[in-house]
Amino acid sequence: MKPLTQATRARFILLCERSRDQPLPSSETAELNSLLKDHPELVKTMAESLLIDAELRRDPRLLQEMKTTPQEARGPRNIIPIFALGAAACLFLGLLVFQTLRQAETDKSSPGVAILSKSTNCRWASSTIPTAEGSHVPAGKLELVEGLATIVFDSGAEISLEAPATLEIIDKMNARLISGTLVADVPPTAIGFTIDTKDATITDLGTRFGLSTDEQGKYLVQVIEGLVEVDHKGENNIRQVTEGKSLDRGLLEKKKNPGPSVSEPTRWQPDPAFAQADGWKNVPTSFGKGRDTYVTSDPNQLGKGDEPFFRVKQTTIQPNLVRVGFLAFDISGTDSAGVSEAELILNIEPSDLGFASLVPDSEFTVYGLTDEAADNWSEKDLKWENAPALDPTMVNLKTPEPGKAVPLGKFLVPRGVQRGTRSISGSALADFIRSDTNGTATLIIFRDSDETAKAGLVQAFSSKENAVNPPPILRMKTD
Amino acid sequence: MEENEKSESDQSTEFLQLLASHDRALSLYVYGLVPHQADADDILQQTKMVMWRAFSQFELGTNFIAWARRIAFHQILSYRRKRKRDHLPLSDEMLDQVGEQIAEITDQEYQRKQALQSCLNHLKADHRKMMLMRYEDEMEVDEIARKIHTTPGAVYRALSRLRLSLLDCIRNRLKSETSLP
Repeated sequence: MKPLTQATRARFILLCERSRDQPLPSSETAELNSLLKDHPELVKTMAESLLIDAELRRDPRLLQEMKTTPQEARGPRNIIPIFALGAAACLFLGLLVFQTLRQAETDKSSPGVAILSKSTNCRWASSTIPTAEGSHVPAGKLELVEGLATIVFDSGAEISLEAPATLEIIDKMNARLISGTLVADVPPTAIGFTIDTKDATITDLGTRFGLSTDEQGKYLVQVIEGLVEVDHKGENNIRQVTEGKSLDRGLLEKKKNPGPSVSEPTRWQPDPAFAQADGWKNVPTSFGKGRDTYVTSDPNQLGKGDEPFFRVKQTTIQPNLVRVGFLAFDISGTDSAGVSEAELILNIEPSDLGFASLVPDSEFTVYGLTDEAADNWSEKDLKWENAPALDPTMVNLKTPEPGKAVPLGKFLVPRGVQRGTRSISGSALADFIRSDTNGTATLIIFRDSDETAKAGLVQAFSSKENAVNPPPILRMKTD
Repeated sequence: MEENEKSESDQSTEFLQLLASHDRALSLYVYGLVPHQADADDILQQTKMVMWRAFSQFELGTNFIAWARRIAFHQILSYRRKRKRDHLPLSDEMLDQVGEQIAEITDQEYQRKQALQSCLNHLKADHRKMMLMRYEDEMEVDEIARKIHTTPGAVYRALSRLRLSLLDCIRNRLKSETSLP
């Protein structure tokens, strides 16, 4: 083996450098290959050289940092793995950078740091910065009352903000979630992106994660992909949350168990089975033997008939979290055989459970229970195994059992919408009411749309226990 | 966000998790062997699609990144044949050897990126300018030559000196790092 001289090495690097842009002449290709054959250590040199290239192309922050580092550096710097410093240090550095940026910004009349790239059904309140779609927004506060908004920071980090939420944009690498829910997508260019809540600092190490917080400081972090670091303020303990895992500091418990509705009803209460002059009659689930609840495909969960809403969800990602709504209307006082038209009205409620960004526009199907013997289900002990028309073996989680229920209609809830009413009507519903013989009509509500990742939104509709919004109402017209 | 962490992860979650945790290593491998950026991105994309289609054959618990790199390597080879373009002037066999080296370095030297950063930060002003023109502004060597009033040959020489000094600097940094108690 020939010894490798510095000159040969330099020649080899020069050939490598030239070959990057355009094909080498065949004589030089031969030269390069014979150098590699004669000096096997050049294979490693070539790999190292190519890796420098690859790193620089993959992560533009390397050059960014070079640009912002003053020259004439004092002696060799310590090689500290930047991210091993942890979130606290990141925050500290972040603050320094932030201060510097702020300084610079005052001279440039607050330039934009993020683009409000997409808003779906959005309504904004008291925001200090522009909220038009496509705006390049400077640092400031955004308050989203309704809908779903996507904010792309100049660092590449992307946030889907889910109403109701208040977010403060600090700079292209930092934001503060004052309350509400967001899903953050952080590409490699924005590793180190930080979101502050009242009680914690969440530093993203290249990932997709969801975060919910309230003004009291409770929060929940759910990592969908990758890794985040959570620094709970005042605790000297930075926690890493890995893919598929979540860290709950008091929030989930509150959301999952809102408890029975206790406040005094403040809404207009529909008169029980109120008959209008034009031949229409409204029957809410709160009338007579009416009931409304939901079941979960988790064998350990009982019915939740006393909650102010019922939840509906479809998921193939976590098959134990499918939820199906059950409504029973007392139509014993109605001449059901004479019904010519019928309509079901539901009120959408913000369910606060799951991330709206992970669920596309959702389609729901309402089924009517034809197996009348099963009409007398009870809110208190309804669960998946004993629920009418469901497959007790839980193999089929998407539709009722064939022959026990019929589809009556579909409705759509667009992505991000958490308010409003939905209704179905049509001959299938009217036919179903007419065929009733026992004075009870049971309707079953399935979501047909799946979620795109774990922890997608669970939709909810107000129930008869809701203090603010009306319960499900069945309207029927008799001739 | 959901209450149950029973982790009924199906195949796609499993795949995405593995892919996410090896994304850096896989892209460094492809970017390293394919200097042309647009081609590298195409190949990376294609590789991930093939991996997903073949994922049922992947045996969980075995070396995911090694499997991913094998698929990527074959994508690079088929790209070379289809487009009749050699990204690096190497035989298939030599390209494989260089790829093996890239893999070994990426898997063993975690500090390499920090070392590169430190070395970049110590570059002199004219070298910094050269790096920025080449990598940030993505200028061709001819353009750089025109801009700094010199010949393309001189730019290549300057770039290779710069490359050598970075290589040596990184080696020194890594050596002093490992020699610490």
